[in-house]
Formats: sequence, structure tokens, C-alpha cells
Amino acid sequence: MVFSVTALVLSLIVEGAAPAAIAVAINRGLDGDEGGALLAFALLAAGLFLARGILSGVFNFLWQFQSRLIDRDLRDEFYAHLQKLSYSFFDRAESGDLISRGISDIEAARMAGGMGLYRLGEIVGKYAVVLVIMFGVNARLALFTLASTPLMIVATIYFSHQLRRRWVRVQAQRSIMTSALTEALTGARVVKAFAQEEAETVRFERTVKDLTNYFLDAIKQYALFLPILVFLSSLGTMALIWVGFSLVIDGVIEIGTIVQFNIYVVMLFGPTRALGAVVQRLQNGLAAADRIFEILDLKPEVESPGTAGTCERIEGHIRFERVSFRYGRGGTVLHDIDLDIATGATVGIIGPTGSGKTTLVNLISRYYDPTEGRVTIDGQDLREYNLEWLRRNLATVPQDPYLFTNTMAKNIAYARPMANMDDIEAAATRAQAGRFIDGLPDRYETIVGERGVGLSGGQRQRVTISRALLMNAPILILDDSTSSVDTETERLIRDAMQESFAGRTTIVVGQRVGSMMDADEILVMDEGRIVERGVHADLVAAGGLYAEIHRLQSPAATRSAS
Amino acid sequence: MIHYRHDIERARAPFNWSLTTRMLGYIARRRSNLVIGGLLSLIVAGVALVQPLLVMEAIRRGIGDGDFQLLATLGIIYVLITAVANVAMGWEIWLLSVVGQEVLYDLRTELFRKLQRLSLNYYDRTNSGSIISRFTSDVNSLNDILTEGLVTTITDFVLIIGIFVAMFMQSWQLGVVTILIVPIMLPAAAVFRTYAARSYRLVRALMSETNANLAESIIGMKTTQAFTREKENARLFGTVTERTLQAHKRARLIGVSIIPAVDLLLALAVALVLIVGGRLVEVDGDNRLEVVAVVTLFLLYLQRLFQPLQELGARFDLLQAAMAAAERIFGILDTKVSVTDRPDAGLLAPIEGRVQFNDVRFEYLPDQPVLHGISFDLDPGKTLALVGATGAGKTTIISLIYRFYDVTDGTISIDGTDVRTVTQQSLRSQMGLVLQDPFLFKGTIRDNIAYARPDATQAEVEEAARVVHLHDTVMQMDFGYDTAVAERGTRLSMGQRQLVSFARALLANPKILVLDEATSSVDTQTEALVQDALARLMENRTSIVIAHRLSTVRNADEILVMELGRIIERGTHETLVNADGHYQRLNELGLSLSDEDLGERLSAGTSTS
Repeated sequence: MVFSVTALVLSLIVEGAAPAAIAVAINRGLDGDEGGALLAFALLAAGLFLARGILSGVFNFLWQFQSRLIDRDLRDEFYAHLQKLSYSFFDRAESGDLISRGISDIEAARMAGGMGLYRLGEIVGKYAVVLVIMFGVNARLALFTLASTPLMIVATIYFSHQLRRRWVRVQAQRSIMTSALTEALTGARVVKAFAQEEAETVRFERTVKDLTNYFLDAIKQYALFLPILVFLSSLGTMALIWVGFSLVIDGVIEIGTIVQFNIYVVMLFGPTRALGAVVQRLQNGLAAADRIFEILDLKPEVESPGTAGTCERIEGHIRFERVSFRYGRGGTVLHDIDLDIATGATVGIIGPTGSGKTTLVNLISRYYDPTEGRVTIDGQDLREYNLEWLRRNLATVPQDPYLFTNTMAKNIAYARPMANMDDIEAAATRAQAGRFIDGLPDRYETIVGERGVGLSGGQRQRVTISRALLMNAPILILDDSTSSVDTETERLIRDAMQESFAGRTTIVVGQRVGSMMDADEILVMDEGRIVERGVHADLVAAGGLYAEIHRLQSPAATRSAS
Repeated sequence: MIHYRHDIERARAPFNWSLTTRMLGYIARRRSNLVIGGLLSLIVAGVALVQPLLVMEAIRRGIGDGDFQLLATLGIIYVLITAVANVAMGWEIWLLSVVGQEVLYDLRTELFRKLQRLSLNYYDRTNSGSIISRFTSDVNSLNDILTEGLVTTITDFVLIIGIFVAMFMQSWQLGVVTILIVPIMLPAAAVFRTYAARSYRLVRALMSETNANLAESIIGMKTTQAFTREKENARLFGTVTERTLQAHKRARLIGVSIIPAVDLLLALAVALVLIVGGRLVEVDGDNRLEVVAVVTLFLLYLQRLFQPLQELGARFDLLQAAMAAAERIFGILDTKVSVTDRPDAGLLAPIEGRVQFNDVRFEYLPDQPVLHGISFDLDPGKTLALVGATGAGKTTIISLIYRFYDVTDGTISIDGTDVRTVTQQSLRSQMGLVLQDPFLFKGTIRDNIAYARPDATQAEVEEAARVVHLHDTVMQMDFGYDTAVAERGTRLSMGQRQLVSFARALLANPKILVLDEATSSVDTQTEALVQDALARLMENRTSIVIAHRLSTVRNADEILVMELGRIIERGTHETLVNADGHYQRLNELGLSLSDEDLGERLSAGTSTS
């Protein structure tokens, strides 16, 4: 910062001095009798230009580097901040919008923050130096030459406002376009399946059309602004020709001085033109920065109390105390849940689609905070635990198996990037994924797609189970994660888990009685409430919802249904 | 977080002529704007040339003759022509910006259309993050050069030529001196180009990696948080951004070196003009004012001449960015669409739904066949179940029915018509595909059900929902069918999403239903309903199912057991169970299962046999 300002000031002074050297060269040198002076001052002028070049090169490098620093910091911060935001945010947010902010807006902000601000400094500095020198040489002439400057300032302020409004609209529209695109890409299969390519294209084209129009609307302001700015600055040259040259005729100033002033005016031409571009950039960038800070200022709804809140180790005693929950302003999803899961116990949760099972386990991982009541582990409110540490102690296998575009091994080692190959293969084998992975072209080095394309639902689920097994945490949550796996494989997986998770708290959410009949306690959920609880035999005997599910799933029932 | 190293390695020459001409092809579509813009830039450049002449005239005649009147006139002329030039400049910016934005519009929509035409296989290989970054950062790079670059390049080009011409007209001696600078400039520029190009290429590749990483991370965020990878991801992202920063640093260092280099030349030129000017005065002493006027003119011209050169570093950056961007954009546009409509392709008449494979062979890559002579004949309304391990060729068969690829050998016909003789649109619009992963779009439940038929009435939508047992659930939601579904259907349970995708297929009412059987779960009651819904969906339709459930194969009219691109067994469940083959072994292994991943069971069964 200090360096670049120094470089700027020095280069400006040198730049201001060069035309003065030319003036002397012309005034004295071109008289013909002082050949030596001409040579000397000509070389001096040349030297000054060269010095200016070196200094402005240094300055340029420094500001460009600075702008890249800002760029990197913004990107890192944006990325890291997104990682911290809660599930509730991602439920609402659109990926396309976030991507647009993270790519296009950061780029615009960098241009403004780095390039825009520094160039503005350069322009103002140039004006200041020229102003000082001009006034020093001849105040009257300077006054005439720079008379139009206040008008230029007024025009700049006016158009700044105009441009800002329009850039805000452009960026919002860019988000809309990126969202449309993201959806068309992630849903490409459905689009194709229903031959809706044309409809998607029309929809996308509409968003692009709007974007184009908004963009041109902003450019229109720029196309007005720039000529007005340049014209106003040219009024100075007119004054110079008219008044300045009259002064030469009157013998008040020397001819070299006029040449010097003229060079100054031309020197200011570049910065004036640049000013138009800079104002445009700045307004674009400020509008973009707003959108970035909007995200950076979002406070995660679920927040960690800080580095405190870690303890020796989590035992795994989970309690729900009068917990109610609703998403935002939606209806209540969980009503008054009371629950006590002893350390090392295995609990099954079963119930119809939409009964709140996933929501319940999401509260244990603290993806959301309860609306009422509290959830504790080992007697301590989850809100008092360090969030990262808490989740490291929970191995969760989510419902929707998401694989990243990366190798199979990297996907399994997602939670433990440093895991060695033996551990990875062991985890895969225990999750019954080893065999099909061995059948892949490059085994563990096979690249899998973002939705795990090419793998069946059951295979993807087993990859995510391997992921959780590799974590080796005291609490294991299986959110309907063996639904696509056949019951035989499921049993093998469960056996393997019991081996490696012996003594650990396990919560199994599922649809199949078979997945949880050995559990220490089974919770039956319906419409956000625990309607039945107990062990398998008791529940079957009770003749309630569980017994009904059990009856429907018995082999006899399955056969008659098919 | 994958590394796009191939992007870095693959990046081509700094200035790629064929890319440039191709871009120019887009620009040339707006000929009238370009021609008018070019004419306007002539005015702008012309005025920029005349301005110093007026100053020279003021020195030569105004001062020389002491003519105040002339000075006033020159001043007024100066203002007037400047006004004209600025109106012209504003207009030029506008016209060329329109050109630029229309080019971008074309590119974006062409890209999108292309993506819509590319087969599913493309989406399997390409992550959406990298595609999205082409639409955003790459198109932005082109935007920079098209909006700013086009205007300044045309103006500067005209101006530079004009300045040289004007210089020679005023004084050939000084003109020669100035033009001597050019030969020095050329090799310097060549050296610069080579070094700069190399470093900018790296920058561009790293930036695209950064952007693709960000996009993928956003799409997979929930998984990241579930496995507390936040810090590790942020760290990895940080290393990429840090590398990008360092690459930028190097590129800039080279980029700004142009500034002192150009100023050195300017300094040389100024000194030469002054010294030669001095000589001219010595030779022609009487005419001092004349020489001063010409020297002033040259000094002013030199300032204008070197301004664009000083911007060269920045301009080069823009150009490189645009080149790299264009390369990546054209990369998508040039991806070969393997399947195209024949020029004489007709419309497929409304079909009954008979599907025939006649000795179909297929290879994705030359000499690596994935299907070896597959034949079957499926009557309208019948169900065919495909069973086999991953890689057996089930998905390929589905893709071929859909004509996402053309067969290498043999024929596929629907109702006796070769699928290659009809348009893809008329073929696909009569078929329906239900995939494992129920994908919902942002919009309402209604929009999602009516996806294939946006003009469907509310009654039709509700009827479809009723058939698949979705209606009651929807009515319980806050806004019924107008309930908003967030991106990907979050907030709906998996089971609900699946039912929506059934309703969608039902409303589309295809004659042929292609089903990659969903294996993910719904509760038992719903499961029974889903089975029932599925049965209704398949009623009176030809169905081809990649089967994962036993109930499905049991009900199929024919089962094809596949292995490595061959049909190894075929028949109904009953015949196969008694055939003492793979299927029978599979049966022994676990037929008591309620649902299962049949394919893998099968391969497990064969490998142990």
C-alpha cells in the first residue's frame, strides 16, 4: 500500500516535470543558438519519460497485485462463509444465485476494489499534479484551462447514480440466468426424458434476453457519460488556444509554456477517458460488493459457541427435552418430543413418509436448532458444543447419497482425507461396497460423477455408508441409508457395523421393520409425534401402527401385493 | 474437489487465428452496426488528428501573425469538432456494445441449445460446476473484450495509422525519425508475447478451476457439512486461490514490464524529435516558429500514439482471457452430437408401442463393443425387465431406444419404423423416462407434475396425482398444488418426490415407458401405493425396466439377464427359475428378499459359481 502510493506520487511528479523540460528545450533550445541546452533538455525530457515509465510500471504492478489479493481474500472468505451457513439457508437459497455471486460479482468487485480505486487515485493524482504545476507556471492560464473541471465533477456524480441503479439490476438478472442454467443442468435427465429441451431453451433465452437488455441499458448511460466528460475537458483546450495564445502574442508567456500546457491537456485526456470507465467499473463493483456482503453478513442460524465446548470425548447419551420444531414460518413438524437414548443403545425410528423422522435426526446433528425445548448429548445442550467438534463425533449417513466428482477413494475418505488406502478399502468392504468397486474400471481410482451416475441407488448408499464407517465416531446415525440395499446386504452391513460400532449409540431411521427389529427401542412416528415406543415384540403385540407396518411387510403380505 | 489439470496442459497457443476468425464471424453478423461504428470511429480518430493541427495552426499563424481573430476562430472550431467527435464516440460505444451484447446473447443461447442437444452421456462425464463457469466467468471474459475492447481497438487502430500519415505530411524528416522506433518495437513485442502468453494461460486455467470448485461445492454443500469437511474444503480452495494469486503475480510482472518499455521508446522518440527539430532550425533558421509548431504537433501526436501502447499489457490480458474463454466455449459448441436428424427425417406417427431390437451391436469407442448382437421383440403393452450388473449394458439399451446414440450395427425399430428415419423430437415425445433420482424443478407442485404438458388443466393434474396416490398428500400442504418446491425438491420427502415424478410421467401419457427403477425408499404403506401406482403407470404401455425389485421381474412378460453386453438368459420368471442358469442361482441366493439390487446379486452369484 505505502509502496504503491509512493510509486504513484513519484511517477506523477516525474510525469509533470517532463513537459516542463520540453518547454525549456523549446524556449531555449529551438532558438538555434543554444544547441547544447537543447540536447541537454531533450535528454532530460527523455530521461523523465523513462523514469515515469519505470515508476508507473511499479505502481501498476502493485495495484494489480493488490486487486488480486482482494480477489483471493473475497473468494476465500465467500467460500469459507458458505461452508458455515446452516441447512436452513441452503433450503431457501438457489445454487445458481450463489454461484453467480461467487463468480461474477466477486470479479466485478475486484475490478472496482483493485483496478477502480487505484486508477481513480491515479487519475485524481494526475489532475492534482497538473493543476499545481499549471498554477505555478501561470495561474490565469491554469484557471481558464481547468474551468470546466467542476462541471465534470457534477456530471460524474449524476451518472454514478444512474449507473449504480442499472448495475444492480444487471447482477440480479445474472443470478436469475445462472439459476435457470443450474437447474437445467442438474435436471438434464428429466428435461430429456420429457422432451422439454425447447421449453427449457425458451425459458433460458428469456432470462438472457432480459440480461442483455439490462446490460445495454447500463451501457447506454456510459455511452452518454463518457462523451460528455471528454467534451467538458476539451473546453479547457479551447480556452488554452484562445486565451493562452493571446497571452503569447502579448508577450506575457513564452511559446514553450503553451506547448507545455498543451501536453498537459493531452496528458489529461487519457485519465479523463479512463475516469468514465472507472466510474462505470466502480458502480458495477459496488453493486456487486453489496451482493457479496449480503451473503458474508448472513449469520449462520446455527452457530458454534467458539472453540470452547469440546470435551475429552462424547459418550453418546442423547436426550430430547420437550422439543418442538418448525421450518421457518412453516407448520410444526415436530411436536413436544421427549426422548432418552442411553449410551451405546440402538434406537430405530420408523413411520410414514413425512412424519418427521429425518427432521428429528437433523436436530441431533444440529443442522437446525429446535424451535422449543432442547437437545442434549451427555447432559450438555447441543448449543453449548463446538459445532465442528460435535459433528465430528456423529457419523451421519444422509438420505440423499451425494458423491462428488472425484475418485471413489476420495469420496469414501471425504470426512478423513488423510485416511490410508487400507482403511478406505476396509470401510468399503464392511459397507459391502468392496465387491462392486473392485468391478469398476479403475477400482478405487475410478472417477464418479456428482450424482454418482452409473451407480445404482444401492451402490451409492453403500459408498456413503463407507464414508461414515471411516469416520469412527461414537454416535452413528443412519437416515434411511440402506433403503436401496437389499435386506440380505443390509444385514451384512449391520453385522459389520455392530462389530465396529459395538458400544456406540446408533440411530437407525428406516422404512423396514427388518432394519430395526433388534433395536433396544423403536420409536414409531406419525405427523411429528412419537405415537408408539418399545421393543419389537411389545409393539407387535400392541397392535398399533407398528404392528400394521409389520403385518404389511411380512413375506405373505409382500407376495400377495406383487 | 477435482483438479482440472488437463485444462492447464491443453491450453493452446496464445493467439489462435482460427478462434479469432470464428469470433469475428459472430461479430460480423451485425454488419450495419459495425460499418456505422467504423465510420464513426473514423470521425473520432479524424478529430483526434485535427486537434493538434489546430494547435499547430494557432502557433504558426495565430502567434506568427498576431491574429487574435484567428485564435478565437480556432478555439471555436476546436470545440465544435470535439463536440462532433464526442457525439460520434458515444454513438460508436452504443452501437458496438449492442454488437458485443448480441454476440454474447448468441453465444449463451447457442451454448444452452447445444447442451440441450448433447446426450445424457455428456452429463455423466461433465460436472455442472465446470459448465456453469463457462456460462459465467468465460462469457464475462468475452464481455470485457467485446464491450471495451472492440471500441478502443477500432478507434486506436484508425488513429495510429492516421497519426503516421499526418506526421509524414507535415514533416517527412521528423516522420522518418518517429517511424524508426517501429522496428525496435517489433522484436520486443514478440518476446513479450511469448512470455506473457505462457503465464496468462496458467492464470486462466487456474481461474476456471477455482470457479468450477466453487460451483460444485455449492451444489454439494449439505454433504460437506454432514461430514464436517468445511475446513478441509476451505483449505483446499485456499490453495487453489493462492496458486492463482501467485500465477497472477508472475503474469502481471511480465505484463507491466511493457509500461517502462513503451515509455523508453516514447522517451527516445521525444528526444529525437526535439534534437532533429533543433537541426531543422539550424538549417532553416528563418523559420523558427514554423519548426516549433511542427515539433509541438509531433510531441502531441507522440503522446496520443503511445497511449494505446501503454495499455497494451492490460489489453493483452483481456485478449488472453477472451482467447481462453472462447476456446472453452467453442469446446462445448464443438462437442460432437453423435445423433442428428436426417435431412429427410419424417415425424413418427402416433405409435402403438412395439419395440424391436434386431441384432443390435454398439460401441462407444471404436473396437470396444459394449453390446454384442442384442435382439428382442416387445409387443405393445408388454413389460421387459433388464437384469444385470453395472456395466452389463442395461443403460446402453435404454439410451439406444431413446436414440441418444445410433447403433453401430443392426436396427432398432418402433412399430416397424427404424428410429433413425424419424425426428428425435417426434420419437422422444412419445416415450417417457422415469429415473432413479426423482428430480424436481423450482416452481409449484403443479408445475412439476405438468412439466411435460404445461397446458394441462388443473383437473388433469389432479387426476394424475390421484392415480399415483399423491393427491391427498398435496391437499394437506399449505397451498395445495401451488405449494412452492425449492431447488431439487428439498422439504418434500423422498417418497413424495418419487410420487411427483410418477404423476409427471403419467400426465405425459407416453406409449413407451422406460424406467430405471427407483430403489430409494418410501414407507410401507406408501410402498404399496407406489407399487400400485407403478402398475397403473405401466398399464397399457410398453415398459422397459431396469429392474432392482423382485416384484418387478416377477410381473415382467420377459426378462433379459445380461452380462458384458450379451443376453445370457431370457424368459419369464417361471421359466428362468427352473432353467438351472444364472437366474436360478440368483434365485437361490435370495429370492426371499422383498427388494434388492438384482444386478449385483447376479454378478455376485456368477462369480462364486
